[in-house]
Amino acid sequence: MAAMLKAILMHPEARQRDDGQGRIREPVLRLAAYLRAFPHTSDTGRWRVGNTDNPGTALAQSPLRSPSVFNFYRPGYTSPGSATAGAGLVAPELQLQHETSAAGYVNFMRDAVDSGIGARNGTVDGVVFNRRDLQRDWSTELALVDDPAALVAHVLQRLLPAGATATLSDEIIAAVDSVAIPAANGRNATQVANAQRDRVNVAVLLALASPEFQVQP
Amino acid sequence: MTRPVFQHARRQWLRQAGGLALLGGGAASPLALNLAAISAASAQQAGDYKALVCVFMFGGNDSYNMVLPTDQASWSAYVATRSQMPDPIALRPPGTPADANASAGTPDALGGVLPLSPTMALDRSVALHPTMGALQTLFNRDRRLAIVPNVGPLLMPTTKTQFGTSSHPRPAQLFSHNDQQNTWQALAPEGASVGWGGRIADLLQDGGSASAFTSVSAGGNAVWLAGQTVRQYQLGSGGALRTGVDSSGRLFGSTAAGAALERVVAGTRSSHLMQADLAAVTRRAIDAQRLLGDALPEPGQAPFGSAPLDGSYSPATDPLLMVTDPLTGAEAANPLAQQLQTVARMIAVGRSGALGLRRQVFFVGIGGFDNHDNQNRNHAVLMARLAHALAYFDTTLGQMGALDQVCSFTASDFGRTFTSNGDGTDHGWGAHHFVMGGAVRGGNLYGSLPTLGIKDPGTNRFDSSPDQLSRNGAMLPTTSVDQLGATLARWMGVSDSGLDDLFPSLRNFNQRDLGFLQS
Repeated sequence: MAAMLKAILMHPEARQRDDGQGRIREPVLRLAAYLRAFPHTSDTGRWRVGNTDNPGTALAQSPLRSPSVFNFYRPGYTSPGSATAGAGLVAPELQLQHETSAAGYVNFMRDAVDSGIGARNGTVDGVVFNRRDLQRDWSTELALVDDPAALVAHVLQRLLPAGATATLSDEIIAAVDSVAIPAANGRNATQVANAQRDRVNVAVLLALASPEFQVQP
Repeated sequence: MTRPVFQHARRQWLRQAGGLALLGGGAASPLALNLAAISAASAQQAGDYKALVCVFMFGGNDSYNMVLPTDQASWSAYVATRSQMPDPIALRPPGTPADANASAGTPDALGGVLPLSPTMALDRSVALHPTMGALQTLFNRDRRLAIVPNVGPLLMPTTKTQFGTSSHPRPAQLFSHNDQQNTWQALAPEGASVGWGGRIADLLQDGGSASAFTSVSAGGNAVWLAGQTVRQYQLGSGGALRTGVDSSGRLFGSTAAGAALERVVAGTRSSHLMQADLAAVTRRAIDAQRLLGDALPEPGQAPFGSAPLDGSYSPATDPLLMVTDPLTGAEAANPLAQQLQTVARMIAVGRSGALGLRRQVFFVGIGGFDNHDNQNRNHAVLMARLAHALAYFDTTLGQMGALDQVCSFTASDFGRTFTSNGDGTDHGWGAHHFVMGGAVRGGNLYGSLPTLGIKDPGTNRFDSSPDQLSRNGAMLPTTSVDQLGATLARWMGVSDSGLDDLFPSLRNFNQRDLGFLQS
């Protein structure tokens, strides 16, 4: 067993880093990676994520709901006209990637970051929710909103643990900084809270939308 | 870029395998010949509009139960072969009333097949699946539907004897789903990256930057739509979507954040190939949304759909896009009609001249056709969906005044076995298909209906038919996909020499034009 593990870990390909290495995360695994980086709770305890098939409004994929016995994509798929195809590489996950699903993914994650994930719950067992089932306590991130660099470093460390380029990091920091937080004056607590939350949202969504996150190194 | 060479690395193998696949279906395939070598197509000079729509049935449609020869000899062979217990799949003869007491989806419950009356006298009679009343009308009355019998991938005309000879050229990977889907669409097995719909678009594209809308899928990614220069654009029923931002370009209220999102998601900060591919798709999505803007007509607007009685529009509840489920009698959403609605909306933009386009190719598709079992029920639902969706599309195009400008054709992985496995059928080869449109010389069959034989009880083979494979009666095609494609491509405006480049096996067949389209 040890020899096998060593063979896998020491395999040249496992240690090789080039422009064709890694794989594209399929959409459901992007959601899973997000939830792993930023753990959520389920209001009902039933994790009502629901069907995420719709490419325009969700992920173009739901677990265990592949359209045929041939799964979501073919192992030999090459995307016509793509850079990977030009390099002679297969890129199976690209079979799910098209203009509608590309926009749909970003829109779905925008709403997920902003409002949570899954079916909306009204009143459950006497408790009024009126929100999506999967929610996160963002207090750790909200504590960092006055320092965009620290907030973005925290987010990128969780979503891109292998490291992000300064270009990406600076881009996200500037975007976070563009969300102005009004000075508290005793009457604008809601506006202040919304702006703080928007800063967190911008930091997390831009990281999730980056091709760097969508490709697993 | 330089890479260390690892003789046995898996990645290296994958790279080589990918390269081989490209050689087989891409760079060296006939579809990928030098664009400049192909003479200019006449359509580029024509001030008109035409669109070609591929309707793909994923899984391999059992066309033996879609288009049925009903003459005495054929019908006897059909009933004898398809009455295998426990769930016989032989449909009932024309005129049989539906039995309301029979269990749902059974041949008795569906009633008899629907007879066709071709314009030209045939020595055989033909009929359609009982759920295809809308197509019977399109064939018999409107004459906008024609049938291409027994068509499939062929490299050259092939007799049954030749098929038994290993030296006679035959398409690679027959009977394999993914490979035959690719062969129908790109004339080569899986790995092919250039399809003949996309090549037609290559030759005929115009519209400058709007040429991004020359090749459009309302289903998923389809190699049929991929050209050498033309990329397919995917359009869902939600129209061209914005990526993350609102109509003012803001993300979470910030214009700067919206602009940053576009740079992050559609740009790259490294030379990584997969990151570049992902960014490129999103770049096309953003650019296309800007270009198309609000030009696409609303789905809930006539003639494309019906305005919702209350609330927001949903194609799943639009009565125009709902089909009567033959099993329950209830109205149900029809995913194929929904895709054709998107195509009709895009055609409205295309033929308006707003994009400067005169030619467009479209792809739609539904799955579920791989009915190895429970075929009676499953296939009835699918046939009802296909008939309803095509009829909806025809009606909509009629109201748009676009009937003569749009030709639709069906395609599928393959046909299926004549024999039943007890409640379903297995993978075959040739199949009957439809072509539909105002320019179609409808109400006729173009090609040769296969002779249907009966298994010889002594040899257990279909020796009595020259058109059926010995073991299971699957159709041996008598018309090639190249001939079907060339007929469609010629109508779109591809020149004669262009046809030879697009369809490498065409020169092996006498008939270059099947004749179902008005010139």
